[in-house]
Amino acid sequence: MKVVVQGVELFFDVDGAKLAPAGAWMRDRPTVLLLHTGPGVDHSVYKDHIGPALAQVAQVVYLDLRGAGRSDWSDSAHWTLDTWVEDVREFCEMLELERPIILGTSLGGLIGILLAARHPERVDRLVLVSTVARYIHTRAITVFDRLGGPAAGEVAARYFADPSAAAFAEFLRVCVPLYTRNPDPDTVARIEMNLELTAYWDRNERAFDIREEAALVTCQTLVLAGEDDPSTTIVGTEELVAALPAELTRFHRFANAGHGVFRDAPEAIGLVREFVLAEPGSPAAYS
Amino acid sequence: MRIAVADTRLYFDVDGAKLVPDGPWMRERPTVLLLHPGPGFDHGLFKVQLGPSLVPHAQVVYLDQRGGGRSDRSDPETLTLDRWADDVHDFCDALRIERPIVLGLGFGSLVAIRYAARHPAQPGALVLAAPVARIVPEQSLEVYEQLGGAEARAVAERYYEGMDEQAFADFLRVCFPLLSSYELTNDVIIRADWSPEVLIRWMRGESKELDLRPELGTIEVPTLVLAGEDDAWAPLASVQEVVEHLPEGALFRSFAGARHSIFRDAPESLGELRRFLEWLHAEEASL
Repeated sequence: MKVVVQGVELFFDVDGAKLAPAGAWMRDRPTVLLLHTGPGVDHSVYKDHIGPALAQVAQVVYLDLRGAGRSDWSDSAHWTLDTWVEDVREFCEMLELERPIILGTSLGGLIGILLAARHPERVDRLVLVSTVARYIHTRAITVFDRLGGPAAGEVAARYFADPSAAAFAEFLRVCVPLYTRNPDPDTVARIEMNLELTAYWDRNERAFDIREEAALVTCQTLVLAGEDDPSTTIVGTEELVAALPAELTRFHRFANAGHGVFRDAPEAIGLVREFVLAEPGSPAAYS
Repeated sequence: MRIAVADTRLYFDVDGAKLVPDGPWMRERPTVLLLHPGPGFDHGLFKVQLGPSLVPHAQVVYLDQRGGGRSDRSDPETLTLDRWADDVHDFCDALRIERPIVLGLGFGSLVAIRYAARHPAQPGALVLAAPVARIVPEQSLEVYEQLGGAEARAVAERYYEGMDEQAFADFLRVCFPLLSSYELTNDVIIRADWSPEVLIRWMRGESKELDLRPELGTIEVPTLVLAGEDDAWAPLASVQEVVEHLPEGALFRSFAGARHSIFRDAPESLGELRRFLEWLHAEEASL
């Protein structure tokens, strides 16, 4: 399905009913809105693992962000965090998604944090996967070095210094396979990639720093990160966790897991499920 | 979820993803839009058996039609079969649902017929479960009497001829249980978000002049008609009249012992439905 938001068509998919029969009542299940990584990737990466698992206990809404997958690709003037945050806010309003739990990976996590900081009434809880508050190239290069040897670190450094088409192609070939311990070519093939957006973002939009806004989050937040993530590094996630309100934040790190932890550390799926099922405000949600 | 449609907002629920991973592809599944009986009833009764049985094969969309359930009660002047039908079209248009398989039960099948006649380009196929072209009380009264004796006949008579709140209350008590051979009928009644005034308005007004025979002949999409042979709401002869007025090629199955709740009373009807979906898929693949 698609819906028009701020003048563009956004594709979304849904799995799992919102209302379920329970004796004499229809029971409301939680809504989890999944915001994908990227930029340039689409919602399909969630359909392998976390999406279907959560659909058993919640209504799962998959959204292709503007510029991604089956949504309007729009143009580079609108490929900004501010636009994506307002897109998601309006998307929730148009469909009357009342206070969903927002689960975002990387770029999706950034959007989740900013939405929760700017529109706290819109967000019930946050799950931040492989998310950092700012992007520091040397941190990523260090992990590429460790995982792929100095050659990988050099390819990454060349790309970060000069995100040209040639350097990007080399980065895709040498560095992207190091993102996960369990690469699956089919998963990559299923993505409707917008590489122009990826390249544009890497050239122009990497200088964000959302630490101040992260401190404004007022909802319970579950943070998950892989210790072998070369893209959004564990050091970067530690920095984000330090910026989030400590009393609301619960942080789980996974050894031997890369970017987007669910593929490498399936036990993370159980943690999210527990978090989604916990009564908001109960100790189980974040203790 | 709810979405703005014409002058109102309609509630809908979704179960089962539209796109599913299949090797290196995302495979598109059909969309089945379910139109509940009524008017003034809601989608909940489909959540027990019909919806869940379709989810492995399709994206299932449950719609609360204008005036009922969690949709806006709407301006009473707009509670007409034309508007209910146009709502289906506008709803699909707003969500970019293409070529839906529209399945209506009882009153929902009347909406489906009117919708397909007024908007022939949109639907992919129709499933008419317990449809009638006209409301012929005498035929229904005979079945009520067979199933519930003289009292049921008398109550049903007032329902058709002198419909008011008392007649509706008596109907709920005496006749409604006769529409299903399934013992959970009471749960269904309690769980539903009723608007009896919508039903009363319909029974006293537009239903009396209903005649869908001319428009049935204009329906060109593949159509499956299902009937319960002990259905007092849509007696077999009335359903047969619908089939006679549809263009040649419409598929028709009736189920012995089944009442208005065909899908629950005759689980083999779910198998017919699956075969119809498979046939539609094969037809589409051969184009």
